[in-house]
Amino acid sequence: VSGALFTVGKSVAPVYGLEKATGELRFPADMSLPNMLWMKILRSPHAHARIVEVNWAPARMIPGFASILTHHDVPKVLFGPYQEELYPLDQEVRFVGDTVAAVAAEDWNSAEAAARAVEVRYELLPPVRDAEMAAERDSPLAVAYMPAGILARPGGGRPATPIDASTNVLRGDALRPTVINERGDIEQGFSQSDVVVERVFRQSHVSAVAHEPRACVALYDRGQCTLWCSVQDPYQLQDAVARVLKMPKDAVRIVSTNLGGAFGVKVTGRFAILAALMARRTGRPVKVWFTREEESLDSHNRSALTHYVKAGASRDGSLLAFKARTFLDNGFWIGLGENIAQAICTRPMDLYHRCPNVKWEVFVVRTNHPTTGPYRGRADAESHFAVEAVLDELACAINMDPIDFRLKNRLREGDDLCSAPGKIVSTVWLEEAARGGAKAIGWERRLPVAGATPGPRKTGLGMAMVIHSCGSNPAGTSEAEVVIDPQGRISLYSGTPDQGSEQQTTLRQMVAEIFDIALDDVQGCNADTSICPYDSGPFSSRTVYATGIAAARAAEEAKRRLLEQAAILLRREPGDLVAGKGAVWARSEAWRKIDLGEVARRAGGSIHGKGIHNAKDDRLFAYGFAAAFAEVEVDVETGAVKILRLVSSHDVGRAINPMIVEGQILGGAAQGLGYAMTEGFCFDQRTGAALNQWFLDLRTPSILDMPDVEPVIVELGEPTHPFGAKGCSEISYVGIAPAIANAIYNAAGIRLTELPMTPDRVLKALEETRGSGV
Amino acid sequence: LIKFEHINAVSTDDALSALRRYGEGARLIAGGQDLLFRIKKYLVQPECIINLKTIPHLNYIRPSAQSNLRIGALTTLSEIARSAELQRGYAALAQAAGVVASPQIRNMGTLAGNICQDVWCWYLQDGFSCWKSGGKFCDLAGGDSRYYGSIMGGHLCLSNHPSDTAVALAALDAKIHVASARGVRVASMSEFLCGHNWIGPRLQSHTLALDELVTEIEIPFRPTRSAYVKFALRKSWDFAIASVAVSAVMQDRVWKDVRIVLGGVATSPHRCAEAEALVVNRTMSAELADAAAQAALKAAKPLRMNGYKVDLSKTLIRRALVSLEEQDSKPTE
Repeated sequence: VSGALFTVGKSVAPVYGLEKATGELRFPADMSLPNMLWMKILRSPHAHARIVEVNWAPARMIPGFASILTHHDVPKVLFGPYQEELYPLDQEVRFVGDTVAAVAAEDWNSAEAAARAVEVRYELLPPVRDAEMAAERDSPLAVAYMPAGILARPGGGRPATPIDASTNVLRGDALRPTVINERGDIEQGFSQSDVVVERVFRQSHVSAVAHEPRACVALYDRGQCTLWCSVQDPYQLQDAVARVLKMPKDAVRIVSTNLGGAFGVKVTGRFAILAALMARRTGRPVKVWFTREEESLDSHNRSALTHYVKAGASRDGSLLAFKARTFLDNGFWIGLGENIAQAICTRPMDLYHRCPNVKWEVFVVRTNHPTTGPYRGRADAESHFAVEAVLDELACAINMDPIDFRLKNRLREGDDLCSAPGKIVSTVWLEEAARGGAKAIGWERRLPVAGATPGPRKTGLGMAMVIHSCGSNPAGTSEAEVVIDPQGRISLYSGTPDQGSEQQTTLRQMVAEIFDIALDDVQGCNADTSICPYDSGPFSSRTVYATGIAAARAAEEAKRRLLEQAAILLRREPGDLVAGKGAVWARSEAWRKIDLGEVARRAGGSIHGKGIHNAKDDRLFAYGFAAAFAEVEVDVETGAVKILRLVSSHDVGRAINPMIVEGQILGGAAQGLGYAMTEGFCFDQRTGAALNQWFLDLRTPSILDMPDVEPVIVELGEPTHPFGAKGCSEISYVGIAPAIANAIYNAAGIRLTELPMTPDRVLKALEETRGSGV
Repeated sequence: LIKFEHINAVSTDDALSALRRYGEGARLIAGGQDLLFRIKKYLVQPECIINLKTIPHLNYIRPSAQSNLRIGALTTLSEIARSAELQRGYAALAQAAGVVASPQIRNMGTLAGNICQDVWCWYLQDGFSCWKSGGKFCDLAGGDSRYYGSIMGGHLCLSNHPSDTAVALAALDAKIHVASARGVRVASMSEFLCGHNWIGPRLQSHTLALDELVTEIEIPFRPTRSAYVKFALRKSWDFAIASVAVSAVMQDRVWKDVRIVLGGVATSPHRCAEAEALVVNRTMSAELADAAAQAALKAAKPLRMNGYKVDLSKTLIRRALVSLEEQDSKPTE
């Protein structure tokens, strides 16, 4: 695609914008079918226990009770969003909030009352709470009764292996990490270093807190099962329902309606499988809708982590050695633990590609905390807080500007990638993003000496650099179809759900551009497995990039066929023809136009184009880059940190819709701010129960807590995408916490190594700094 | 949700007779922000809810140039925060009401409801066995006390009293008018909120008997300067990590009738008598403010995870005293 663009690059109004603003848009929670039952999930009050007996006789006495599913009533078939590793219900419960049984009744109230009436006798098992202790050889096991037949699938073409149930460490043990990234000679790296820093970082387990708690309506009718569900992986859910219900896949239909935020965590889960089973059992439609507490506990939150980091650099600003040992608290399951661990220990070491000596071990450890998974900024939010703090400290130690230090050691175009073996990075507009952000925040105002502002309220500036996936995920596949029907309408079909980030708008803008028509003239539908072609879903910020490439290819193919057909009618060569504004004409005969519908009618029916994207065999790999900047005021007498300003600067290749890109950057800043300052589960040390799953105590920032955020969008292109775009959503989350931590150092001279950075931790760090006489 | 009876009381007497009828099974509702959450989470399971919002004439702010200020029990927090009279003469109360939770909650919540609210405690809400749920243990002592645990010790339950307005009212020497079939009693703030106590079968942080309700809050008329400072993790919809209300009558820069009250750190609004004694009849200085702050926290006994609140509270007191001194306009003439 070349020349001037008409729709792409414009902030056109989003497709669902008006409906969202007016509250018209429907979500599964709004759905109601005739004769529908409500289902309530009975949840475990214990972090680890074995169900001895479920007595549901009292539940039957509740008026409106319809049915119950216990572990005796469900097929012992393994399923899961990422691994086949869960029974729909199990005899062992592995975190507070784990699914024990499902009860259906005539309405919400009676379903809840019936679920509360069920009496469950548990045999308590020791809860495993601390990932580091759980990695030890003599630790109790987080999963005492492992279902047989589970394979740990590492991805990346490596073979699946049976899971070792005798240790809590996934694919490893007390001495052997789950994954390791090693290059050069780490000890030699330290011996060559002029400065070496060592730190321990601890990060809290956090929930995504999507606006919309999960909901599903299931209908089972004459061998067909339909689920309207807030999931971002409809094809995986289709597969799971078919597996568990032992139905042919094409008898299962998943309609993934608009999602009220997904952030990577709204994936195939027990709630949807149980709704389908309950619908089949009762012969009636079944609805399940999570409460806020359920949404925060039975989700796939960001794991808690501990990083032991040591890094060294030379006086001239070369990063010479980076060593880390990470414990990832994964919850009881496999999930994507290993995949996340792999990215944790490789991506930052790609970002600082010049560092010759690396050793990073990650232990993925099973615990009896809630399950974890990829949540906005997967793996990079987990790793960058530690990496960017240590780099900042090294830069300060050698009296080098932290931006210059990072840029000196950064990845460059064409470098090979340890995070994607065999591939090289295509574009790196990191320097441009960093300089643009530095200009916007006024980086030259940064005082080189930490804590130099007088008085108790100290101000400072800090920054962090970020690498994150932008859609070039080799594990994903996207297909799309573009149809020109005999009425001249152009429709785009894609199986990727719109999770609230207006992907439908962005995708349709690309199709509209190819046909030179207005956005409103491209129709489409949300993900529906019975209508749309396959898509692995909106993960790793891949929609604009991967689904976008598939959609553009589909549109190009449909257009080629259109022009071929039109060429016959106009008696011209296809190359002489132009399509635009709903018609086709020859360049030399602009007065003689045939409309698209007529071409389709004369061709004998709709004209189709299909496009597929899979990056498996591409040599070039696209990554997104960003630089985040923060200006803060630290009150050294109260521990309060006021965020004065944030600048979030992004290499997006090209913004298909700048308004939507800015929306993503602002949203990421808000969520990243929560991760940095206030959010994070507190677990009871005695029982392992999460204590603060209440909406108030999840403490997402309020609008009053949001500082001024300035997005900077760097548009210098990406050759592997037809419009030069890179995905830009999750990445906006990642840099916020480390940028703030580094700004706090610049302001007050303290290194905060624990998230969230609450006043108690600020005061403790100040006390330690005073104590050490620094 | 459980089933319960719902009575719209038409008068105070009507509400009192319903209270007598249902005894332990009754709960009073005004704004409902505290009670409805507890009912939805099965923390309380009343047989009957007595709605007070339907009682006319309990919503008023009656300032008077000569006698005491009277506020009706059902006056909403928004009305209090917006009241020009209160902002002028009883600033701490207007400020405290204005930083409670969120605008929606302030529009619904009442002053009497705010001072009678129950504790916000993770352990209670999560179904841990505790004094308030029929057990004989408080997890805050050895557990996670970082936000909601007392640093001033306590009896049985160690949860902080969460109210903002109660702290301001204590600093303004407010009196609570309590009605029952036995008549009306007037309680000082320290009598009304005195830590967690058994009232019949309930462990509660106020001293309302099962057959009583609050009708009015009375604040003595004095030419008082006052201020409320809240320290919380978020700027909206959050409880205080620590807060302080200070009030004083100033005569030629000499502090008279001083009250210093801490919130968010004890099982009731915590009056700092030793600090007050240091300040009274003196003129303020940085040194005096600091000495008062030290004295105020001398008796602190923080739990395992909330020691940081001691220094934080000292800072809040010190700053509040200095800023009260610096207030330009002399309020309440």
